[in-house]
Amino acid sequence: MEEKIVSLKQQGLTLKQIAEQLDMPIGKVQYAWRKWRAQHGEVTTAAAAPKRKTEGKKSMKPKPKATPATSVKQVASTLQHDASKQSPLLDHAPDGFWKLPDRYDADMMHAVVQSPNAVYVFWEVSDDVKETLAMQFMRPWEDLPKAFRILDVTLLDYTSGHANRSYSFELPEMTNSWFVRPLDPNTTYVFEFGIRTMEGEFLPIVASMPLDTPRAEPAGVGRFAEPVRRWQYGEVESPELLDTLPKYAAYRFVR
Amino acid sequence: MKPGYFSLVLHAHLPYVRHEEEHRLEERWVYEAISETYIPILWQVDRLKRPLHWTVSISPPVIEMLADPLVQDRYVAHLDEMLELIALELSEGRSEAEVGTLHFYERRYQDLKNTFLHWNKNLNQAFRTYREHGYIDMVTCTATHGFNPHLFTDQAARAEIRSGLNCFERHYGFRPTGIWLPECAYTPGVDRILYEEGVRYTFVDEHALLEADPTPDKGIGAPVYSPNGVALFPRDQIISGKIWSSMIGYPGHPDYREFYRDLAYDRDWEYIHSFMHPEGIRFDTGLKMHRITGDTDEKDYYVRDWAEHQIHNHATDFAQTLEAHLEAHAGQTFPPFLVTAPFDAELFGHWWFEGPEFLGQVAERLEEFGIETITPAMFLERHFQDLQTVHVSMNTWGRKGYGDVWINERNEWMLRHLHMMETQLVKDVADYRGTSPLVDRALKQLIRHYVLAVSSDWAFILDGQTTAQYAAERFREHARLFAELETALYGDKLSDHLLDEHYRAYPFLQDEDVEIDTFLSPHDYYVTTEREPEQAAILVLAPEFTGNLVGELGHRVVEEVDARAAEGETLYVLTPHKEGLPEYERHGRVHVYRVRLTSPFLEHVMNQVAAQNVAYVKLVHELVNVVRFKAIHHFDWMTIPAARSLAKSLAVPLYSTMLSFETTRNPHGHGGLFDAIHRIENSVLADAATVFVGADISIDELGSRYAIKDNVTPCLSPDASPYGQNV
Repeated sequence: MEEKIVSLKQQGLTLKQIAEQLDMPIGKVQYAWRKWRAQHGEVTTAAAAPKRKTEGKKSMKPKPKATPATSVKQVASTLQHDASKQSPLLDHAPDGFWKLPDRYDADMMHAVVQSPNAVYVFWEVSDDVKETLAMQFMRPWEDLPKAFRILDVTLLDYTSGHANRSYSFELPEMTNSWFVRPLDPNTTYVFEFGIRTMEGEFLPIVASMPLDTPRAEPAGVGRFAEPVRRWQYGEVESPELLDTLPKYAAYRFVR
Repeated sequence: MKPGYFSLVLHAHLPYVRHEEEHRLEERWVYEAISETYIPILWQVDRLKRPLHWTVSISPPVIEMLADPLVQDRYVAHLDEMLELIALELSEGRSEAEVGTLHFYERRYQDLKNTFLHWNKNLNQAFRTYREHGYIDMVTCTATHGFNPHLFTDQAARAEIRSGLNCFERHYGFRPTGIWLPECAYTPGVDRILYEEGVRYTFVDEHALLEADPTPDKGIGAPVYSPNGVALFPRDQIISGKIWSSMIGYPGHPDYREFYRDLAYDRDWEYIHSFMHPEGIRFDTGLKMHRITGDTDEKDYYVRDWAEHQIHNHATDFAQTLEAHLEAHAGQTFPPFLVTAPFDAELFGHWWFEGPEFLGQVAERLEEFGIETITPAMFLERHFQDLQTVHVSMNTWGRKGYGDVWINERNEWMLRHLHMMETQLVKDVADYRGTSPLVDRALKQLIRHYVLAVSSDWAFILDGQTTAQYAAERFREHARLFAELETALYGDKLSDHLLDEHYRAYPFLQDEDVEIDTFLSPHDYYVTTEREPEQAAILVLAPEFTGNLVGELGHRVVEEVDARAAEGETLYVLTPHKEGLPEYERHGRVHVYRVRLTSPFLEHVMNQVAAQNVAYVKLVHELVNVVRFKAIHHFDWMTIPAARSLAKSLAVPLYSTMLSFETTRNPHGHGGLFDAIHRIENSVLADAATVFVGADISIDELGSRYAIKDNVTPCLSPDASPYGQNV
């Protein structure tokens, strides 16, 4: 089977097309292809690069590349998850035409405001996380009960784990978005998707950034007045206010 | 002059509906807007020839379509066709009432054509000229009218803002200090980006100020500063409502032209079909022969004189209403009371046919009444010191005042893909910028596909469910083009020809308008250009590492990691977060990440372990985009699920160190937890390349409790590399 996958891949088919042709889950095809590439990686490198005789002893190791032209290229060339070299937005319907992907193999959750009382939340859970939980609880992902939690973290640090109040509820299987309502105006919320464990605990997998619901009535002098004043008069170095459009860094955890 | 000011703002926007192929129905939206709104407004400016203090916002899609020779030539052809239809109608012996209106249209379409040709078919020249004469002020909008509160990153919002300003500057020769926020949608943080991009004022709905914190002293009688110093001018609903409301407003008067009754539907198909879509679709001609008449389906013919009489009445009434409103607030000083009235420009002319003439006459009445008009820019010059700073929460001028129109069950399906495009752009720009001119061009084209997809019009149209199919198709098309081009970028399949094709599909914005680095983050810049290159690394998952080590295992991890680092290996150690220790530290070749659980207050051991493993996998997913791992080494049962799952997906060998097992720690153990740990321990024995077990453990005895293979071996001395020749 592995040979077949490799041969189709070398004919230029995408992993998705191979999975369809061989009627296999894409995960298996991906795994086989990555494994083959990892095992044969040095062969292709060696064939492409001029051989150096002095390397005899360590020849099993993938060689560090000779200084590349630019460091930008260097990063691009070390991308491991680009095995299939295609845009995550590239997907095909059975008829061969492009379609929007049904899901992305990623872990994330985003929440956006619909109204002072409602927020729209969507999320993705990667295959690896699903498999990790399946290995942990010795049950297939599909059998783990899915749940959603709403945390009111107004004036609290979410990472401390504390919340003013929380509420969790079960979700139907295969759900990847939710209109959360009713919520309270002028409240800071964090939303979490996760599983309900056998003991009944909520185990979060992905969480949104903290989000303020809009005010829906005159505030008088409310909780924002003092932070605004401190920022206005330069008493703090950065505003103590949520920013819904933070700068995003693709490699934020790479230090 | 009386105390107080009036400021009129008109926002002209259409989605970018320019198509190379002929006979697209959506292109008629542009013709209608030109014929009914843009030129009639210009006529008023030209007639009055003096500073009106109107602020005209013109969105980049409108600018680009007005400047497009294809659209220009088709518009002229459209006018000729209209004149032909009017001539045909006049030859048909219509009733006296109809003939009067037809003659009105005949003169009007002739005038439209004269004006259009006078400006060399490019109305940007007209607006620019009048602005340079000082008759009107102008601002623009973000590139494609993306809905800011639903964007995910600073970069996407910034790209929308900056490329919009760039486009405007290219056509109009100056950079405005004001901007129209699409849908008047404000969200905390957008003001920071606006300020950084040189924007000093924008417009919001009045409830933005009424619900601000603290409540502004002047209510909606003056603009406020947002926390980051952008002046927010509030829409005065009482005054605006006089104009736009179908209930209390002017446009519903029986003498005005009826919008919903078009000549196309009053004529036989045989007669009209040569003026209709070649595929047999009937659409509005723009010749509307009836007046609103009243709350009835029986519409009477339009009488131009009557409509003109009402324009005069309504302009006077408006000036009187405004005068009373300003007088009621005459006591306000520092700054004086300001009424801001922002509108969609298309309301005047397209929806309310007589609207542009009304605006012209209002300008005259206000002069007669001694009411001072002002632009927001002038207001700020005079009164910038008098504005209060407040916090404004997310809000819009849409239905119910927030995001209901742009996120609901009819359009929510788009958001996931838009956010994916945003994060992909950040990553692609970090990885590929500056690689070659061709690649840079591709990055700009990817940004172009994204901004065309993020236009708030698609969500708006899907919400309204008219022409929903077009909006959904346009969104999908831009997402597909994005996916295909990004794949070509990854696969090194770019060519000038390919990029030309992508651009020609929707030739919106010039490459000089689009700045790749709007998507760059300083951190990614460091990672991709300044960070030292690293060799392939070993990923270590350990239940503890440095700090107050509890047991033998922690010391073992430290010894092994130190020994491997001394041998020249690069290691990434992932271990649980510990209060008082940094979340990240680095010692030479050793990176240590102390990872927070996805939830800190789980009660049950198994769930804590699961939360830890999930957190490890998520972190490694973030790292593997840059760091290449060649092996995984996990310690103890608590890290097994993440280690197994990652070894499989990264296709790297897995090494396991188990100084003890549940059955050796707890020889007589039983029960659910014991059994669960036993099963997890058992699972790693099958996957690992080598399992190193504590020296005190009898492998034979282990075999009686676990399914062991010949990959189990006693621990080596920490000085000896456990990875052998395989890594």
